[in-house]
Amino acid sequence: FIFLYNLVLCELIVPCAHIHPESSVVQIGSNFTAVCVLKEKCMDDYHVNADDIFWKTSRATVSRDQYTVINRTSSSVTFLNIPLINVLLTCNIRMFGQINRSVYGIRIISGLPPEKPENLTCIVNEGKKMMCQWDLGRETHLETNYTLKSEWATEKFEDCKAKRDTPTSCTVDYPPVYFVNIEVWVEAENALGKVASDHINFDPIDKVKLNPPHILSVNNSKELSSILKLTWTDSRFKSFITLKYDIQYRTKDASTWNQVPPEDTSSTRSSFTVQDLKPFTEYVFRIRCMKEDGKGFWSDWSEEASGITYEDRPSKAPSFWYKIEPSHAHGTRSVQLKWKTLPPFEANGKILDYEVTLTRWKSRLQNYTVQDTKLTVNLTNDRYVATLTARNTVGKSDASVLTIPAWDFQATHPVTDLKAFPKDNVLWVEWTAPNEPVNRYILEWCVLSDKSPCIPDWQQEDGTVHRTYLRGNLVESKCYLITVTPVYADGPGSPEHIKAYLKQAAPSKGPTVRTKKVGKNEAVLEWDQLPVDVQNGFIRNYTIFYRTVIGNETAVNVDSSHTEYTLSSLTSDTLYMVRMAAYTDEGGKDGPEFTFTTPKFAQGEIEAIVVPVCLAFLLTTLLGVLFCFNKRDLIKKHIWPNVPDPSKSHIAQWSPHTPPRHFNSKDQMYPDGNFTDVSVVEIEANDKKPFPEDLKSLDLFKKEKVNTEGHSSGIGGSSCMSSSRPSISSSDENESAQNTSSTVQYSTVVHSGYRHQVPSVQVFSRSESTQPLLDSEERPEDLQLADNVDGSDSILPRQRYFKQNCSQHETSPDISHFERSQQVPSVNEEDFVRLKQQQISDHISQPYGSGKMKMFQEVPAVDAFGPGIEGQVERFETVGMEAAVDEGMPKSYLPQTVRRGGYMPQ
Amino acid sequence: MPPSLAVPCLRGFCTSPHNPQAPFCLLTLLLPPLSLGAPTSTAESINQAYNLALDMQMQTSALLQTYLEHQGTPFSDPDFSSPGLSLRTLPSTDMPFEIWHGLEDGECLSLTQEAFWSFSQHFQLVKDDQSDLNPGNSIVVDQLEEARLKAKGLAGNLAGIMTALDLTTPPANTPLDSVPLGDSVFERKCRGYVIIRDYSFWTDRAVTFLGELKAKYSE
Repeated sequence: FIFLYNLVLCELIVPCAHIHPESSVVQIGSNFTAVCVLKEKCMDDYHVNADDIFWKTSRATVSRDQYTVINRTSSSVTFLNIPLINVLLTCNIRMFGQINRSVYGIRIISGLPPEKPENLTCIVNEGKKMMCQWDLGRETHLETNYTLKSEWATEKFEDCKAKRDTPTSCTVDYPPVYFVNIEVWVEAENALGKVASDHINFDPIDKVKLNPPHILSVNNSKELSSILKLTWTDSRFKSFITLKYDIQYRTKDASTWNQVPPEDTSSTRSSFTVQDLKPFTEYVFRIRCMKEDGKGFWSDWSEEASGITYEDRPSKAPSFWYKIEPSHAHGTRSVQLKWKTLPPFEANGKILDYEVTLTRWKSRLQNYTVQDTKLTVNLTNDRYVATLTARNTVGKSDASVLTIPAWDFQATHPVTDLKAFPKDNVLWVEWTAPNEPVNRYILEWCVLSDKSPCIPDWQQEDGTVHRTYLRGNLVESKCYLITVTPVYADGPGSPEHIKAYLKQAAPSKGPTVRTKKVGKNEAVLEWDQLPVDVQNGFIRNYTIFYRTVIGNETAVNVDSSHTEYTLSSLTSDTLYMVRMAAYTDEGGKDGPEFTFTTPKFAQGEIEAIVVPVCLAFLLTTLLGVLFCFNKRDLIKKHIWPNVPDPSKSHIAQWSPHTPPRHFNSKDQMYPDGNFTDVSVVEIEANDKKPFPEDLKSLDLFKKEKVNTEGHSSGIGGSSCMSSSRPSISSSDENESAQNTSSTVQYSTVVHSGYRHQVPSVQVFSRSESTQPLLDSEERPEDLQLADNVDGSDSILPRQRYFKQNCSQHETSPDISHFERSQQVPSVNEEDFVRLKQQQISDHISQPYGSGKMKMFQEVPAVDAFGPGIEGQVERFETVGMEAAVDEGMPKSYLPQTVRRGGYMPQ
Repeated sequence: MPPSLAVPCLRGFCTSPHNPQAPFCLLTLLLPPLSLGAPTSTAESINQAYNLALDMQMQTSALLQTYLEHQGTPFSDPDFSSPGLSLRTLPSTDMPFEIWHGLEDGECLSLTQEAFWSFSQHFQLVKDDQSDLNPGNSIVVDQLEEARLKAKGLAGNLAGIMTALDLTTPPANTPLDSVPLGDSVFERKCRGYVIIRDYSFWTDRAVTFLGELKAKYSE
């Protein structure tokens, strides 16, 4: 800014110095010298001379090596081999006090002179002005003007200056004058030089690009269906120059153009007839032109125009096939004849209708005219021959002939080696021809699906074809069932089938696996074949993946033909997860995961363990039982001591006169005594015979227990007579024991009492409370009579009694027992009340009455009364009476009683 | 190689048989001309001139039509015609056909060449007039300019033919005498009309003449 200010100041005032040259455009690579001349006035004013001059380029001071002081006022600077620059060069002076001042400046720009423009060419678009273009050559880095110059010998045309943004071309401003040679050249000029291109001299007509022709019409010919006549108009120059043409055509749907031979169109014309076209086909044309001699340029293509060739008769017979439909009527068949519409290139026109004829053997012709592509007729079971022709406005096609064999015709000779494979996005079918001559082949195909029925499409192939592709809209991932049927002169041959996919894909669903059986170490898996709709391809194999919750996954490949697989080496009692993938050629798909748990034990394992264990236990138990049975006596002795039965005491038999004290000493000797044997005798003596007789009648008994009997008759009686009182007093130490013995006696004492059991003092305690016994004792006969009508309740104890003691007495008359049973209850009731009272008292008095004992006390006691065994009851009561009477009697009786049972082991 | 180079080469060949370039010159002669330079033969020149004359002839009626349309009444009236009107400075159209037909080719060429040279200058005059009279209308001016160029071009072509036929060519830069009928607008319009009308006449004459000449030289 200061510098500019100075500059302005310098110019406004008088500059202090001057630089030569004033400004400079320098060629790159050249040397450049500038001289700064100081003015005298400045030199005087500032007291400077040329030695004080220094140079700067823009901001940088130029090295002093490049300076030359010419004289007192002038200093020069020289730059060698100038590069590409655009700088300001200033002349500066250093004044007193080291003050620097710019005194003058010039701009130096470097660049290159223009190169000669090359490849100058011109073009004249018809109706427009001439345009020429050229190549510039190297970059000049300077502002360079390009001027297109043109002239005639007699006329100089206005210069055409190229625009700055398009320096390589220029369009002249004057109208083109054809047929007059013109000379054209380009001049390039900048600050460093001026250069002209080579001159070109030409007639503009030789540089012309004509306007494209305009197609007027495309006409067909009724006579010839293979031609179209094209007419057009074109340039006005065709009046005086020769043109040539380029005609192209294509069918409407094609993308490539056909070329009319250039030699056919090498002269000026306005129409052309294109031949060898297909009938009834739309063709599109275009045309362009240029000078015949090849000078100039091809015109642009004309607009396209189209025309349709005239119709011709159909060139081929339609594909023809049939289908026999089930018919209910007997002896006839419903036959659907079907055919394909001819493709346009074979139809050669609009098909108006089809003519079908049917001929039965030796019968007249049936004619049908159909516009549809199928015809359903009812035929007999005979053989028929059908023909089909297609008709358009020009004529009929050849006839397709089809033999419909008789109903019992046996098709034979199928094709062999039938294959189907996809290639180039179509499905190819290939087969080997049968040995018989084949007229043609029929290919039928349909999509196999569980959801929709097989609706076949079909196509016909010549008898010579062994390989074709299916011409239909086939879909990927669908299973196609393809049928190939050879057709012979006498009818169709056996069809052959094959399945194929246009393109396989992975199945859309995986197979669902489940267990059929799960064992301890193995599992039988089963699955269903995938439905055809989800297969999307041929299932090549399955893979079963199974794993435990924590374990790695194991994969097993299974052939696609299987629907079952056994997984072995599994761990028992483990949760397994299993899934299955099905694979086509294009990939696989997993099915849902299925879990199952292997059991802990194999089937039958539990049984194998449990049954032997149970058997062993059973055996052990059995053996134990047997052992116990064998040793029952011993066991009984230890666990279940025999208790003397007081009721069987012979006291009742004792003479009342027998002094009770007689046995006192014996009582002491035998605190326990068993006198049940005595009671047995007593019981059986239900008749009114005197005791001796009774005893005698019981022979067996007597024999066995002579001693006992003797004792009881003598001793036991007296002890019983002395009653329970003494026993209570004597065995005061344990009242419970008394009770026990008194109750148990009914059931057990009888049996063992004979031999081992120790009669206890209880017998006496029982007997002490039975007051009525006194009566019975006093009137034994009465009681015995009553006993005769005793209730049946007494049967059981009595029987037991007999079993235990004397089987002989089983023979005793039952009737008598029955009779007695009726009376007993009354007696029993009284006894029961008393007994109860006694029991209560016993309970109170005896701290340890075991449950068992109570049982015996209560229940069997009631029962025991029931039996009302005349002897027993009577004796009890008698004893009780006596006990009551002798209530105040000393306890000395007891030793006697005990003594009586002294033969008990205890 | 431009044919212009062939000419000095040919000369060299003729004048100096010992020219070492002689075989190449001969070869050059045998080769067809590849470039599009000036016509290399008289026939070609004549053909070119003929084509140009044809081209001019095709456009004369349109030119006259356009001109009249833009001049207003009475010029734009249908069937406007003024046969009696003439311009002294224009090439003569009075010469009877027989006389014209009886002239030598060279004379005809010369007369035609002069005529079209003259027309080119007259067209410049009309163009200037029209630029004054119809300032925003470029259609007439452009067509007049094209006609002027073509007339001048034909004059040049004819001069070339004359040169090729070794005929003397008139000086091309004959200045136009002072043209009458130039004062009023109407007169200037009339002048334009007459020039175009006579140009048409001479164009027809040139086409006929050059057609004959072309036939003569194409044999």
